[in-house]
Amino acid sequence: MMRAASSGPGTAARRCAPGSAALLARALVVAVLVALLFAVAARAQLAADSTGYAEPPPEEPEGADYEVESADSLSEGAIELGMGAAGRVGSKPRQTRRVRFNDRTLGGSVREGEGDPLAGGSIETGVLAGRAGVGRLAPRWGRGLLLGAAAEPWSAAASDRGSAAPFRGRAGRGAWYRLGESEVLETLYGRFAKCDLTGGRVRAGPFGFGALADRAGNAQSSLSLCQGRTEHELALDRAGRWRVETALERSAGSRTLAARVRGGSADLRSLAEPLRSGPARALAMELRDDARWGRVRVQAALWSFAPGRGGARAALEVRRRFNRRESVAMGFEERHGTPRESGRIPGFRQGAWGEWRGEVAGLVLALRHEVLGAERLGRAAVRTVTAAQAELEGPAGSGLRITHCVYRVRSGENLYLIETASDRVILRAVSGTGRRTRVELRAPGAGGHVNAALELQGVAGAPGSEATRPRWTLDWTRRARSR
Amino acid sequence: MRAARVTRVTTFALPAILALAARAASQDFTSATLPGPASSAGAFIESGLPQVGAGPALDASYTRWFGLPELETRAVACAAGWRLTRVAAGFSQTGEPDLGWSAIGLACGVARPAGGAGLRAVARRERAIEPGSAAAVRLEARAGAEVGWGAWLEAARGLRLWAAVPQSWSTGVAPPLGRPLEIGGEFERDGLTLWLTRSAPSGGAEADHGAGVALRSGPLVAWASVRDRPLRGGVGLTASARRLFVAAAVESHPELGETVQLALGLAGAVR
Repeated sequence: MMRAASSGPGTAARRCAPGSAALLARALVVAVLVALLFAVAARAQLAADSTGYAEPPPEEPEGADYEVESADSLSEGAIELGMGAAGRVGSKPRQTRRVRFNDRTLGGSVREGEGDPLAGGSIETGVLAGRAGVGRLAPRWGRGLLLGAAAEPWSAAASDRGSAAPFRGRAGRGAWYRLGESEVLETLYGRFAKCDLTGGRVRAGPFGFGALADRAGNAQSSLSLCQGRTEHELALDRAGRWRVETALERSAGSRTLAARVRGGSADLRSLAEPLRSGPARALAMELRDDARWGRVRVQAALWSFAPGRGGARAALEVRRRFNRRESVAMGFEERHGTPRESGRIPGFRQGAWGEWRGEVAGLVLALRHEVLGAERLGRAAVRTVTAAQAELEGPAGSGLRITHCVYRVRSGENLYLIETASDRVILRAVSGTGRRTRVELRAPGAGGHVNAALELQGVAGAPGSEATRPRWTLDWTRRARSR
Repeated sequence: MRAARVTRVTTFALPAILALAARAASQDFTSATLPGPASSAGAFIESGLPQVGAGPALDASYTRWFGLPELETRAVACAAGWRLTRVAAGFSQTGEPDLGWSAIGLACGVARPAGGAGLRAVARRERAIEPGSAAAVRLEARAGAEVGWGAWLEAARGLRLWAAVPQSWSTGVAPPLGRPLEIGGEFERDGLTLWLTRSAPSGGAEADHGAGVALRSGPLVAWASVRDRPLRGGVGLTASARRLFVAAAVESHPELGETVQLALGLAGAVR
């Protein structure tokens, strides 16, 4: 969800991108080079990890802000209260309130606030040897062919679907029941993508079988097999359309190789998440080395949504830790085609980024520069971002963080700046040429913690316009024991 | 005579300022010292990068931009520290009474031997205000302010990296120079210092780059620097005796002429 790169043979893309055979050949060459580089990098004690290019999931409109809830868990017996307000200078603020609790048998959360995209609630409790809940739904079945697909064609798993995901996405709203700790039986009823759905899934050993149906009589089924770190899924609908995916992962020491293959009908759409159905065909590989000295990650992927619409991506991320407090990260990425099933086809993109982070007692400084170009070596830049961040630690858990970035985005392109709030992550869409300073202050207060942020815009445009007015947020959070 | 002089100043000064605006140059409290973490009070106000030493500092500087006597900057600044905190304040005047402006600057921050961070603020006011003009009626038409910050860290022995954002926010009359984010690094060993800087693109301009080398020999520090867009170079010399220092620097612009900087002051350590 927080990364991007693609390629794809499309009508427009074919003029600048090679055909599928050439792409496949290139991917193989890249894979070999990547494997060699991986070995060299390992010997040279380089490492990989980076935020890469952030983009919202495909069901969200391009060029708009996107907010997602952080999957921050509460310990048993804890209750969390939060109040917040946000807005721009000169505009009516948006107020938000939230409550989360987790008792031995009962847990849930409620958020409310006008205009808050995360407003809503969910509650779950233990019942009938299992757990049942109502509210937000973001399940994941098997590989996600019917429920819980990854946002990007090259990702092995969704970052916002399933109970173990780092973010709490929103695929639908409704009620669910899961039997047993191993969830041998799961049923759900809810509204997904403006459609009422009923579904259920049973698991027996490594096998899982699930089915979804809507009021109009459309039905889809899923058969999955999970053995260790190898997982297969076959999805079918009543019209005989099908998709199958296999994912495997092997480790040797600190190194891990993951591969994923998908094939099937181009016109099979998930009833629950049609905009996240993903490509009909895909081949993806990832090499990771999580060593003590840092990390290396190499990815290569090919995919196709339909004839004339697909893409490819190759990426390398290296993070070298010099000590506990200092690291350098570098990344390279090349894309073709498009990662989305609809919309414009960006075509060829090649870019790189570098990031340094250092820390001394009480002070953190991070510098980052990234460029993405429409030609090789980042030339004909479509996005250029330079950012600096300083963080000062104060007494009693207080702190001040200032982030400044300067960006230049070509017309028709999108850039998303990541903002981390106390209860959510925001991908802030910006465009054109501008700069932004974000000042964040956290301090203890009223028995909890207060987080305040001020964003100062410096965009090209008329002074005093909506885009140039400072944006602010104020949030108070308190955690307590309920018993 | 006066009209001709104003015209001449306008003709030369504005292009000069616009040319300067293409890089992250210093302005009101410019000082003839090396880039990076400040060693003078004026440099702290200018960049927001606090000095390492906590001792009191005082300096006066003079800059003649592009050889134009009508475009001179005169500034005085002082700084002090207690434990980790550093503060600085200064006053500056640029240009002639009928065309120039006055500025006051404040900076505060924290600094350790291995890193520091600071905030800086500068407020300006035009020196000549015609009665009945917009500037006479509205404060925002005759005055302006900017707020920024800077931080630096010792990434390795002898290697220091910094980020300076002198104009995170501004209001009122636009600053005479646009000063975007500058990222820089310097490496110092055995009296030899090398530095590189990169200023982020500003407005429609591309990024600027700078490089330099400095050599320390006893109380003397000599340096040479080069910048792009357009390609130009400069040299400087600092001499210090105990806590007293005097510094001079000259930068030659291929089209606009030479900029001369002089500084005199008291400081704990001069770079």
